Amino acid sequence: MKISRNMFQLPLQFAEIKLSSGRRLRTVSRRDNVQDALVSREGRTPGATAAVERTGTYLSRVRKCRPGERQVEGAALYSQVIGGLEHVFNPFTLSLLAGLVFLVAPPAPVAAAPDPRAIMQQVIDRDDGEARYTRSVIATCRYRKQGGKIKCVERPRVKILEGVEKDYGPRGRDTRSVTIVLEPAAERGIGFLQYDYDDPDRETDQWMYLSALGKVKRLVSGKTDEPKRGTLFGSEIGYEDIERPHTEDYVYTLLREEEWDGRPTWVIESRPTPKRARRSNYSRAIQWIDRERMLTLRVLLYDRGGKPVKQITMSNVFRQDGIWVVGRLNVNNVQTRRITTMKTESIVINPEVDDELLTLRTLTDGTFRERRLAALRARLRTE
Amino acid sequence: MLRRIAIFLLLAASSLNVPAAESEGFDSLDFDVTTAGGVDTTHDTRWRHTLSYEHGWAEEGGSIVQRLAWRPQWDGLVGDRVFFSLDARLRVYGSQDRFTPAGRDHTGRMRIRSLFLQSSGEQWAVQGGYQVINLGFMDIVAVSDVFAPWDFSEPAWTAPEDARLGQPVLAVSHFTGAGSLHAWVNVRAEVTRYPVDGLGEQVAALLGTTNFVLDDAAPDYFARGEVVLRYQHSQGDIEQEYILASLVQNDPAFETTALLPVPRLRAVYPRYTMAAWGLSRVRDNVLWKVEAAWKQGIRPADTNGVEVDSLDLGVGMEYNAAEDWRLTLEASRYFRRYPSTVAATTDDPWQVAARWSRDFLNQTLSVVAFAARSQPGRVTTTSLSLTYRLQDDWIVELAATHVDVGETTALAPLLETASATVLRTRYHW
Repeated sequence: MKISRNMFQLPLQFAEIKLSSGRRLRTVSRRDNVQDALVSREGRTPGATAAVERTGTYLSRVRKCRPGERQVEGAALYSQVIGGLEHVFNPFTLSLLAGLVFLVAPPAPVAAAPDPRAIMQQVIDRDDGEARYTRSVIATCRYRKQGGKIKCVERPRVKILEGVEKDYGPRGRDTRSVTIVLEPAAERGIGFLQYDYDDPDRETDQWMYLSALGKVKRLVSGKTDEPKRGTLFGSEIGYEDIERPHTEDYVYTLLREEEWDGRPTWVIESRPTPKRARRSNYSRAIQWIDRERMLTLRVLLYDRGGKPVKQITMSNVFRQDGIWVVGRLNVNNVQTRRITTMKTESIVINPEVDDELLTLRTLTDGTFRERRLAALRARLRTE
Repeated sequence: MLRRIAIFLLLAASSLNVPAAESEGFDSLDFDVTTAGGVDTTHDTRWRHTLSYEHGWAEEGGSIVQRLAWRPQWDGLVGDRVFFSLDARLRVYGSQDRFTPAGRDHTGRMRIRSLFLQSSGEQWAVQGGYQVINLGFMDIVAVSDVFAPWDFSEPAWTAPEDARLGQPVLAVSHFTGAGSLHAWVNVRAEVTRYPVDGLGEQVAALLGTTNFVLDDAAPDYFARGEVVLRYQHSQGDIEQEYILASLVQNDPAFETTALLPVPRLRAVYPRYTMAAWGLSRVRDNVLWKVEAAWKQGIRPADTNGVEVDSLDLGVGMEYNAAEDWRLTLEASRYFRRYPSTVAATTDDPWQVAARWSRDFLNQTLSVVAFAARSQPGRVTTTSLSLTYRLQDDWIVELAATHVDVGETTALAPLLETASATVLRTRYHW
């Protein structure tokens, strides 16, 4: 779960701290905003996230661990937002937690009827690390169904991408990323630098390095008040599908709770607000949210006319450095009969990323870029 | 008993995860495209090869092109601190190609586009070797982008990305957050290439006689050197660049040194200075571009070699229709200031250009339409190209281009009217 200021601004919270033994320690305090201290997202190195400190009788702050502090492997720290609950902290349990360091871990199931908006906010805020180095494959083909199975009717179109991204901004919701195309050979060496902003009214900044021209070119994305029709590298993954959504843009309804792919899920319907509907390709989405991992496992998307258009499924979920990672994402466009699989071939979470790597310099300065990427690749091999 | 069975069935049904009504119309089948079709995701190389064949037909003179080309490219670190880049092309012209002399089976030509070494430190980078340097924000019209010369030898047959010539350049860059300062030193400026090879042939074609003497006063290395300083700054949606340059004109100017017994001409490559500024700004789905350049001491061929100063202005925009299609419009005008003793010999030159593109079938088919017109010479270029990706690395392109030259008023541009249709196929690995 992503720890962000946004969550702490919600009015009522309680915190639970769960150890790997399964023991749950419910933290109770009469102080407001006790979780404010959780905002420190630094030091979320593998196995270490935050230390809970006791002051007097009450839990007063949770801080970044100090060198030498004992780490509790597998311990989990999480908090859950439930509107309307009066929070009471148990001072007794707090003494057990003083000075300990915890891993980021899944949130607890919501005990009462959960607020779908709060759930979706947690999904959006889910901890995915502050920086990531990934090598991904995007493969797309037209398909037909034969004998109850799907078969590609053409040679799949494949892109292999190497990318580095890092979160920025006061809430860690702005993202800067650089992506290099490794395959196909026709596009090898093309690089993209992209700045995404949490502010819904601010356009993405994007630059592309055209190796054939030796030129960095600024790209313009679509207008914010109209739907973007383009797709990521010609796949079925639309630009809208990978945008960071804003909960205020949607009306959410919790439909039910059920199991999906062996996981307990909430099934939540979201419909865009009239303002959002103007710039969305979809009129409705139904999402299956993993109740423990706060991951979206499946999404059904309906076009502006209300007809089924895309099914997105996430699978091969694994945990790395305390963070849940989706290993495979499938986008099946039932209208065009094209299907895309995006696979995370390898990932390093929270590597040291030089801020300058995410500037225009990286597109033109080959030595600078390659040396830094080589260091990240080396880390991939050692892990 | 029946009640128990009913309860059991109800429980069994609920545990089967029966698809809800909203799942209608969606497939529940799982499929991994990366495991289908033998997708190799482990291939990792710094090389890139392009094998291409192009066959083209021209209306005028029935000439054709028939070319096989291999383009090897490599870039990557050599050791720990040095980056190496190579981009070359070997072209073999078939027996019927317009470039192949009569009676020969084929002819070949090798061209190096870039070949350089680069190294960088904390905030600086040094890059030396053969390379193409682009300046400014404009894609089509040239206002400040005058460093890398153009290859106009076959305007109807050459893709724009292949039309820039590399030069031996030493580059030093300094990076400071949102800004960067670049200095380029070019030890010997290349000249623009035209359809007619060699200055003597060009002048002969222009004068309609070979009865003259031409002295090519092309300065040698270093005397023909160039220096460019550029500062670039990017802040939010605005990017700016400032350029100061001492350049050698890529087109020669001709001086008449004697008229008798035969005209004697001297080709000179004047040096001029340029101060330029450019700005680009993104507003919604439009990228606006402005460039201004003050060039002092240029001697364009259309002024009959008279030295003038010129204020070159360019405006442009790129429109993105929600990723559906894109349109680029650019226009430029070059305001000449003649010496007080000389009357203007031509109108101020200008250029307008438009480019429209659209992808279909998830970028499988791309359509690009292009039109441009420039003065002097009333040169109009129109083209339409269709690109189809048979596979990721196998691309077929059909392009029709028409270049119309209304008048040949000066040596440059010494272009020819041509209509060409080219079928290109490229395979990359």
